[in-house]
Amino acid sequence: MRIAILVAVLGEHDAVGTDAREMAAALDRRGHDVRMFATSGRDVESPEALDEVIADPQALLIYHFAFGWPPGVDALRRARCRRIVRYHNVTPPEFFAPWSDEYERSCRAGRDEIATIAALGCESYLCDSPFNAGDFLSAGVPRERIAVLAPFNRLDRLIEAPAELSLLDEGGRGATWLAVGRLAPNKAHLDLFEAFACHLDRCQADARLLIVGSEDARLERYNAAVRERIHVLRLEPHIHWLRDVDEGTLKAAYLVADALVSLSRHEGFCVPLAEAMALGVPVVALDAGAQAWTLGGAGLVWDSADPALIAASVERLHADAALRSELRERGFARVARGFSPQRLDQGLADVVEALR
Amino acid sequence: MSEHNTDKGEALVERARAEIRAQAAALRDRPLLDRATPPVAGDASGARVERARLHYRIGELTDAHHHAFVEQAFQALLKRAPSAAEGDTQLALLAAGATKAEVLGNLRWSPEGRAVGVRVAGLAPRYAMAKLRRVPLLGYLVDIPLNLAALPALARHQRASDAMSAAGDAAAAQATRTLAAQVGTISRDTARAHQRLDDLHAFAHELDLARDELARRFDAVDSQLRARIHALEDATGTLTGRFDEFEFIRQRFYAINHWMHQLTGAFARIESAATQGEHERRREAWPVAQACIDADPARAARNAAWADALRARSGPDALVLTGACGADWVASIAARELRVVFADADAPFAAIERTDRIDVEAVDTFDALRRCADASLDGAAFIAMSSALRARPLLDWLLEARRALKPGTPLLLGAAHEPGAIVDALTRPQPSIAVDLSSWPGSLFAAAGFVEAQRIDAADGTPAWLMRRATA
Repeated sequence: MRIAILVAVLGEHDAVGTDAREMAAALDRRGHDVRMFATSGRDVESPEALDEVIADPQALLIYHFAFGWPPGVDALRRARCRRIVRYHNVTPPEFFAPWSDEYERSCRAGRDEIATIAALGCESYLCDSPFNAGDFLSAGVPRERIAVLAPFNRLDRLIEAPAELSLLDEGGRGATWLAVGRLAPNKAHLDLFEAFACHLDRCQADARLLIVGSEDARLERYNAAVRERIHVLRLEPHIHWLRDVDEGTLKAAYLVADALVSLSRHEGFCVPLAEAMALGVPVVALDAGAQAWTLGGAGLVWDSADPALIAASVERLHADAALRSELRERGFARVARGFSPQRLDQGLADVVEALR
Repeated sequence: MSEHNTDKGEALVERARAEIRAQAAALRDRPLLDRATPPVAGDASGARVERARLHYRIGELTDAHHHAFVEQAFQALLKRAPSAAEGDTQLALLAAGATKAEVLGNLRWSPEGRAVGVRVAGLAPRYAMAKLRRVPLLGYLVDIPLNLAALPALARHQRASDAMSAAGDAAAAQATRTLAAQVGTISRDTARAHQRLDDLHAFAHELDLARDELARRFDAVDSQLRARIHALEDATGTLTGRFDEFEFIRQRFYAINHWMHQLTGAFARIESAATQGEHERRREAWPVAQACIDADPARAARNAAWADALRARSGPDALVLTGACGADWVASIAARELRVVFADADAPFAAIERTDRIDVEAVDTFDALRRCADASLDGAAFIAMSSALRARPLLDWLLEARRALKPGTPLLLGAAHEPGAIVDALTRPQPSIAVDLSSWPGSLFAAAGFVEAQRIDAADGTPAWLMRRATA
């Protein structure tokens, strides 16, 4: 089958780019003729060349929908082939309102496109999580056209990669917190810092926080607020920033961490949770978005980001080997059950075959 | 079994969640910690873990023995130190005859070792061989020829081992002797330490005694201080009472002072009203008195005679004090080249104008005489003594006149009816004192310090005395 995968921007390391590339690889392994179209990215074709594929009624268009992009909607509308909307969720604009007008507009446009795309009557809406599926169910898409498939990932490669531990030798006796994800308002880094400060003040004065993620220049006001909060809480000596990391460094960060802490307020799936589980790192997370589903019971999920509660959770994980072991085992099982390449390959194949 | 494990795990996680919630609630009551900069990992576990190193030769890991071997194996392959239980497990394996390669292999290919991914050159075949030897029967069949083939090497190792054992025995004997010497030294040091300890106990006992004595002294001082404090408190109480009384008296004094002030004011107002009343009465009476003296036909001759007599006893421009008289008398003596000071409380009514020879003062005549400096007057003339004696006795007049007059200067005393005396008679209930100058002896004036006293009665019979202030 001729398959066109359309993405607005195809990144190398972000969740959407990884999903699209690994999805293409999986379809390719099954003998499909897969081509990738994007406005930028390695080994991709321009969206202008897309018409040749989508004019074929026997072909398949898979559109990765993560933010507002009118050309993507136009492509779905023009397509004479079958269409799958791969939905990664669009962050509600309210999160960006205090920080960036540009992001707010973009996210608002993206949220508005949900109804438009739902009305196009695509053959399948393939969502990262049940939480994401809720958006299209609310928009009126029939339940039978909606499927849930976790995003493709590179967990195997991460497990096999040699860890680059040299950067992380300065760890101490105190607990090591880990946060993975770009600096964005919905990721709630400000809440994370409050909890970590509480941990330093009440639990372990020599704890440290590793932050894997980069700042976004378009969110300078939010970046400044983050820096200000770190300064006010006197966290500078305890925070280790890891920006633009490779797989070895990312793996090392997971290996030395006592817990991955994610207090994000809105997540369509949250790939770092899957990575942590695959590497046996206990997770402390907020019950928001798809995080509880992604963890599937393999973590401490709370309905509040109360700093004392989060700090006490990490303290307990640092001290309780039995609890760590239990969560580690659950995490391994969750990854094997839901996010292994074999499971994801089969799930995608089922969806594609159903469209033949 | 699996379901049982799942239930246990679920219970474990649920219990942990409940305890974490309780811990979070109690977290805010914990004292604030002093934040510390995170120390390096190596500080915590002694030897530093080479986290970045992922390639080893097997010889590097098998040189060490027993504890050191296990410690090194964990740090190289798992990048952490072994727990006590993990260390004991590996030592037990070695004690049961396992090879070091088997221990290393177990660690390297454990789930944790796989995650770290260290590569050890030469380990894989040795580990595989060790595992093969563990296979029943097959392992035995493999082990026999391998051990037979290794017999020459084993014999060489045995001889080397014997030599090393002998060397070790000799070294051990030497070490034992050294240790024995050190034990002797330690024993002597211990005995000295015991002696020092006894000394310290004795010193501590003395310190206890001194402390008790000090405590007793402190108690005594404390009692004395408390007694002093009580006494001071009592005295303070008494003083406070006195101060209260004083304050009461002070308030009463202020009240009385206020009443006195009010009373003085009332008296002043009464006196003022009385003075004003008398003043008005005298003003009204003065024209009547003036009319009386105008009707006296002998007045002009009398005044002229007396003025001539006075002028005769004084020099030109002599300063003469007079009062209680009419304007014509003043004009009369001024006309005889004398300078006149007319002092009378009724001066505003007398209508005497000031000139270069006449000075007018609206004060009582006796008060004016008393204010004059000693020996400052060239003469004095009081021609209406009946009025003058109403205010002051004769002796006062004579003594003040002697003081104020220059030696040798004249004093004239007369008994004429002057306006002041007439006004007195008109306004006061008591009549004027009747003065009979003719009955006064000259010796009276001599006794008062005046000489040459002589009668200069007027032609109409009005008596008068003229005398001179004695020079000595």
